[in-house]
Amino acid sequence: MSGEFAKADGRQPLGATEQVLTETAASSRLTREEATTVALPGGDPSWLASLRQAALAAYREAPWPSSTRDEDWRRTPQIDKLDPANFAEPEALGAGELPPYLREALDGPVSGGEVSAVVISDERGNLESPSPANSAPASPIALGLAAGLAADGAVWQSVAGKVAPPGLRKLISLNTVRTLGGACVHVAKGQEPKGYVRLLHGVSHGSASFPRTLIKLEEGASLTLVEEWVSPDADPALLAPVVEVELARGAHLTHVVFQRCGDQTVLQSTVRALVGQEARYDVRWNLLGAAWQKSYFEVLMLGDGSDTRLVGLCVGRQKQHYDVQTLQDHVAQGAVSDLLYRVAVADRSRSVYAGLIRVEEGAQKTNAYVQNRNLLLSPLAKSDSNPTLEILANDVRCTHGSTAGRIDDNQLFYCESRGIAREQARRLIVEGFFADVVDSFPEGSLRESGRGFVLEALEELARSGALAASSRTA
Amino acid sequence: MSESASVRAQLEVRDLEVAVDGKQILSGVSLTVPQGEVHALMGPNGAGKTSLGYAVMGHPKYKVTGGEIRWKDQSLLGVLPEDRARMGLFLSLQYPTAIPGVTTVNFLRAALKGQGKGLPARDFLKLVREQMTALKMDHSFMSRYINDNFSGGEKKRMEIVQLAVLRPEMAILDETDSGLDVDALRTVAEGVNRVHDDGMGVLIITHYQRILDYIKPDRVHVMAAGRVIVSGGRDLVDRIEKDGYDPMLREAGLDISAATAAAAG
Ligand SMILES: Nc1ncnc2c1ncn2[C@@H]1O[C@H](COP(=O)(O)OP(=O)(O)OP(=O)(O)O)[C@@H](O)[C@H]1O
Ligand SMILES: [Mg+2]
Repeated sequence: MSGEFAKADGRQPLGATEQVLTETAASSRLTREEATTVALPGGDPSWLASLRQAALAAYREAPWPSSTRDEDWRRTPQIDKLDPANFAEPEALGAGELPPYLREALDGPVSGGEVSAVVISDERGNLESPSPANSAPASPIALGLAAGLAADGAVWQSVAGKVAPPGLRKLISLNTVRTLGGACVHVAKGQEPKGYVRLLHGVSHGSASFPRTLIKLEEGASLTLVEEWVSPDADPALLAPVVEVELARGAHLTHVVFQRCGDQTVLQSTVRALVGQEARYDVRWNLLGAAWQKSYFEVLMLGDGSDTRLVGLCVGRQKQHYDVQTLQDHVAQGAVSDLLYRVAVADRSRSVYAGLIRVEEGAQKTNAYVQNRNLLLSPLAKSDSNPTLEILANDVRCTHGSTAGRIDDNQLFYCESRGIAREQARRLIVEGFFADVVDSFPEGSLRESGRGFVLEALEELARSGALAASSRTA
Repeated sequence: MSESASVRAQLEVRDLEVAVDGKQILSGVSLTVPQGEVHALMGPNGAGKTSLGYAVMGHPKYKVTGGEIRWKDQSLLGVLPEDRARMGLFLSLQYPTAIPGVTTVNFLRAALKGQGKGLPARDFLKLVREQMTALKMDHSFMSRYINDNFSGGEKKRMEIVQLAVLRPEMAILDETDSGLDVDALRTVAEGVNRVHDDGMGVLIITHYQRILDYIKPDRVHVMAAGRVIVSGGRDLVDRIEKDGYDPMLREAGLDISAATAAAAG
């Protein structure tokens, strides 16, 4: 819980007593003001080393985000207490070993369907998948970060730090300085690999992990990618992924993020995409579990006629806090971006959402929509929603909207009067609340995973009494 | 469900008083519907007919402030709506509620299961399809969200599909005939009668004689200003059709303006 997490604020003498376990972590130092850069196993290519230096300079220069100074953080004061110094150095792991929570995730609800590649990372960098059932043949499409950069440095040099430049935000700088692993996903011109690529990014208890994922689809290429952010329920941990996506003309990426993090994990993420001419980006984020988080999903519509569908869901319970911020930035003409974000919050949990549609000058014939719907499952749960428009072109169609409400009494009565008990009725209605999100998944095993995810969330709500809790008004 | 001969399977409402948000809506309603019989409930707009249905089914907004509701010799006061459904009661709503995101087939499955009447998947789907066919509804409605963007008549038909699937022992049909075209009216009436033939009691709330030509009432009750002012035989329907409610209201010591004023609170 976030309350307990705050205890970690008193600094622990980590670096001093911990044994130095990897070369890359040697004499590593990380505070809010200062950081030492790390290097990938086998060393950074020189362009990456320079990028890290630039990121380090940006990190030193920018103040730590503040809930009183920064609009982005106004409703998430947890940032004021977050200190990267409070996380332990990675512990050593035997070759071919996987921490139990990662093995569990690997065999977990997303498995099934045709997987063409699996890439795993945690605070130590990329890890081998030991489970033969889940390890796909080494694929040039998706590699660990170090392997990917080694294989095709020229490609990645044009993506890394270009889509999400270090200076953009302090936590992007931090990720750039500290990343030890992640993934490189590259699909060549016109290719449509069968099945889907699976990325698993985790963090063990007590640690901090900064996975970096680079995705590039060349002209006309098409790919489905499932990315999971996971951590065990244990000590405070920090998972701070940055995902950079570049879609060339006519490319199509379906990008599904499933987050299942432990109750004490802090999540700080950026997913940022450049969408080229007539390219299509389908992103789905599914958030379940974290102490608190701030997640950015940003699309830059750079190509005429590009098309982005952003659909998210989030289920909060206990004292969890989910802050999601989105940007639909229309630069090119005739592009479409359509965002729907559905949130159910129970207990004392809280959702914060800010979504900006920006239509740049000259981005005529833009169609952009942003919609946030919040379902409050307890009187103490809260949602803040602030979708906004900033329109500098005159021939556009843009709408924004947000709602917050409780389960409708008449719907409950209708269910109950047909013999459906209250808890089951609430479950049915909450499941229904997410139906259009699930329906937006590509048909087949992925949609089943989406459905499974919602059922899993409902199970968690039921376990914590959030579906039965509301007292009868009679 | 079978019951022993000693249990009087009847719905009994006695001196019922109901308030909504502190406002008295029913002020002493009494009527009894034995299982297997058909009773009609008529009365001007705002008389309290719908409120009576809600109170019998246990809508939490409709608070019983006096009197009794009994079913099979058991008081229903304090009994949850879902338990009333399990005890064999059914209320077809005047305005059926839409639940976006919940498909008709999932809703029906949950309802059957909730009543302890769950079926194996194949039998369940077969049953639902049969009843949809019987009510002349396209099977595509099964995967649509329940009542969501259904037309008025489609909602009413779906209520009767549910009735036919759930097979209650006592059904209150609140203006199920309103909004139905002539053919649908017959189809719906036949659907109700099939369950009635198996012993279901019916309290049918309506403004029109037409549905009572298909579902023939054993008794007719007329409500006004929150109570039953007349109960009688089928001839009451003809009288209402011919003369309206005015004479009855006057006989009961109410005039129209008083009755509507009372209803309007
Ligand atoms: N939830 C409510 N809140 C406030 N007033 C209500 C509520 N429900 C019913 N009433 C009032 O109680 C009175 C009876 O309403 P009810 O719906 O039971 O009438 P009815 O006989 O079914 O009328 P109709 O024939 O028009 O359907 C009306 O005056 C109505 O406005
Ligand atoms: Mg009515």
